[in-house]
Amino acid sequence: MDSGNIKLEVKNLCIGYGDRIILQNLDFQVRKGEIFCIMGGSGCGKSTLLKHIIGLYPPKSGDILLSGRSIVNATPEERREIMRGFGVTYQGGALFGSMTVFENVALPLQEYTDKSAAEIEQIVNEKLKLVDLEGFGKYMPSELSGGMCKRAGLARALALNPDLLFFDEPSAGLDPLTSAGLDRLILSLREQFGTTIIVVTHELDSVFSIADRVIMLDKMTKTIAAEGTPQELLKSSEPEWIHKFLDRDGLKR
Amino acid sequence: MNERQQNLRIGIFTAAGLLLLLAGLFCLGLSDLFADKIQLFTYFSESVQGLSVGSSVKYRGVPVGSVSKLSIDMDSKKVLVTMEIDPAHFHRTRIRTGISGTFDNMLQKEIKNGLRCRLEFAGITGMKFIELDYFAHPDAPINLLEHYALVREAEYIPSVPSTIKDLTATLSGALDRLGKIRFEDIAGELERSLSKLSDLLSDPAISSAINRINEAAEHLEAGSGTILRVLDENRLNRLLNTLEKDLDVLNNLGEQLTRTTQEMKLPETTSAFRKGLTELSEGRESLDDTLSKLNQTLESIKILTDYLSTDPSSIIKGKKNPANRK
Amino acid sequence: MADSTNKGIGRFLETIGANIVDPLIFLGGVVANFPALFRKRGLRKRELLYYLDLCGAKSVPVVALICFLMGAVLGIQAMLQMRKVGTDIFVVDLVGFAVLKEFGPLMAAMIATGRAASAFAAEIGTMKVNDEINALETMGIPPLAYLVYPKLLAMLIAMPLLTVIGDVAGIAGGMLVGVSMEIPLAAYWSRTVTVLDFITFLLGIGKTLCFAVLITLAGCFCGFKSPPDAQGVGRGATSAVVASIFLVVVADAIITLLYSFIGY
Repeated sequence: MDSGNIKLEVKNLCIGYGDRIILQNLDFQVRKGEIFCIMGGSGCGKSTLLKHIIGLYPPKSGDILLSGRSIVNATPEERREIMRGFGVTYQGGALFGSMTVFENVALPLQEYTDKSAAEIEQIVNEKLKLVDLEGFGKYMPSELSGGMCKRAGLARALALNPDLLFFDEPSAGLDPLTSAGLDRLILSLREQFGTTIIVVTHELDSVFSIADRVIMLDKMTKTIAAEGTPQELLKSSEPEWIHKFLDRDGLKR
Repeated sequence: MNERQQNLRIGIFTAAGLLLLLAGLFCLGLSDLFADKIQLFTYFSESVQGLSVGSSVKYRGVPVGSVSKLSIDMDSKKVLVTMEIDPAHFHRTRIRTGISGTFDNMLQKEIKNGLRCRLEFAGITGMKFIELDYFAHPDAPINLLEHYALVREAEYIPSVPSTIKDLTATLSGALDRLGKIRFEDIAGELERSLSKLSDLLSDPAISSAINRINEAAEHLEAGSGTILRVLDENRLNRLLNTLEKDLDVLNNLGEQLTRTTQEMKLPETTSAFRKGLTELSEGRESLDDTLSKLNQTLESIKILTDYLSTDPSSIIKGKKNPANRK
Repeated sequence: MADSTNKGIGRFLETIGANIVDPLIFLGGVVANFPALFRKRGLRKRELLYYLDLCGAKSVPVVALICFLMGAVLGIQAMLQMRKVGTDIFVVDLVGFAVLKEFGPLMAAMIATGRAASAFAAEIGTMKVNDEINALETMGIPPLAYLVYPKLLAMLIAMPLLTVIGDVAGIAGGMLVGVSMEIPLAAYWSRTVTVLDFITFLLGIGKTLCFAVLITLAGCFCGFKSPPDAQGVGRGATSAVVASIFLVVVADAIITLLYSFIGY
């Protein structure tokens, strides 16, 4: 595989807390411009894996390379710089409750750019428009619905125009319609900006509608059970439970 | 709107807090830091028990400053007290001139006028303060100190012992002197003198002399009429002869009396009494009284003996007359 | 037997880790992030004002009231005793010194503990639940600097001011009692300004700077340590209050001892 084309590379990763191992022997790559889904049952550690990939926790062993740079062995200053290169949309949006939506989105810009207040305002409005929240800038996060919060969080993640986006459970707690809207937004982002997008989810509808490639985590073996496109995974019925997981409604997509 | 309210609250809070802080600081004496204080020194040779840093210094009862430091001069074993005086408390009604510049001069003048400091009790708690007042006579000498280099003359204010110290000193001096009086000796001497006096008085010679004096006095009047009668030459010669003999007898008697008086050691006793008297201060009036009475008695005895020794003949004559006529 | 001993030692070490080492690590992190303050927009004015309002301005009425009542209660108790020996005027000394040295600073600290420490812990705990801490981290903003310093600065400003207000209220309370028990107002006032000195006043206020640091750090530490769930947030707030009251009282004892060395 062309290494220049690889956005994220996870090498022989082992993660866990204390003596407990959550996931081990993880090896996968994400290509540029790809929408990559990390799937698995509840409690299999997919959110934990995400937090390791984005550098919040140090892994027990192995390496994580973002655009060829290791986030594991980076100094705090380097890690912060790497982190600035990607955006993360958390489950609930993770908006700062003490600030308005506008201020939330403007925060990374104020922190990391020398742009004037007018420029920042223009960018923020642009990003809010992108996530369909035009005019909601002056609201406090507590005044928004769950879906709006997620979109506002996405707008904040997009503020610095990252070429890598992480989504933690984007559809969790949303009704199917809103969730489908968010999926469309993810797809349009890739189309408009060619952003590489990594999604942690267990929502099958989302996976089948957006994912280019999927990895399936197994709670029992604590490693990757299957890797491929959603269709490939659906066809291959090697471990019985994956098939059941993907086709629990018997839809045979 | 919400933010405006919040900022207003913070504004009021900060302003009120700072204002109260400043007001508090000034009320509690920060302003004293800016007032130019004048430092004064004094030495106390007595214990300053009850005086502490912060104790007040009063000028005729007006608090004008406080004690800022207490230390001990180990050479003289005196307590060096440093005081801070606020010159703002001193002002003049007649000439309105700034005092602070000339405060030193004023102080010098007042010290010449007798200004001194003294420890005083502040109530019943045993706390003390320093009182500045004119305790000394004007132009009283100021004791210059050996360790004078420590303080400037302008800042030195002499101290006088506290009233309590005066009182205790006087009391202990008086007790000392009282202790030195040999009361037993005096009493013994007195007893001896009195016994000798009674001896003297019971002496047969004296009693007979007194008897004779009495008789002489009785016979003097009776005999005076016959004196002229018997004053002829014949009788006169005989009388003179008899007188010669009688005078001898009388001389013997006089000698005897003088001896007896000498035995009494009158002058010594008297002088001993006088010494005792001078040593006993006031308050011994009864003793004095007694002594003066004794003195009077001795005086009369002396007069009597003098009289007897100088001019006994007329009495004898008077006494002897009846015998001669027989 | 040996096994249970080992377990006991293990638990003991864990307790030490949780109660001594972890706070020290936290403190180290806060200090290490100090340079972040001088970065561009290192300290957020809005946050500062928010906490100044929460811990300062909004606490004024309750601090003033509590200190006023404390001063009055002290005054009454002192008066009842002093009356017996006819030293009424010393009530002024007692109330004045007690308020300036202890009650003003301590009451302000207690109110700040109730309001600020629990609020800080709950806020940080909730932020943890909502991934906000993680969001800060991945935005490259150090959460320790970003979250702790505005609170710390706000508390450092608010606490002395609160204490001043508390001091004044406390003395006013004592004065009310004194006046109602027949000490003339002028006498009370002149005695107050005579016996109290501004150094005592300032030292009392200085103490609260120390309290402010302890309360803020205890609150933030408990917030960061709380488990990321709703119950965890509640427990974090509770332990923040307990810890900061404990720290404040211990610190007060130590500071009082230190002050006694310099004669106050």
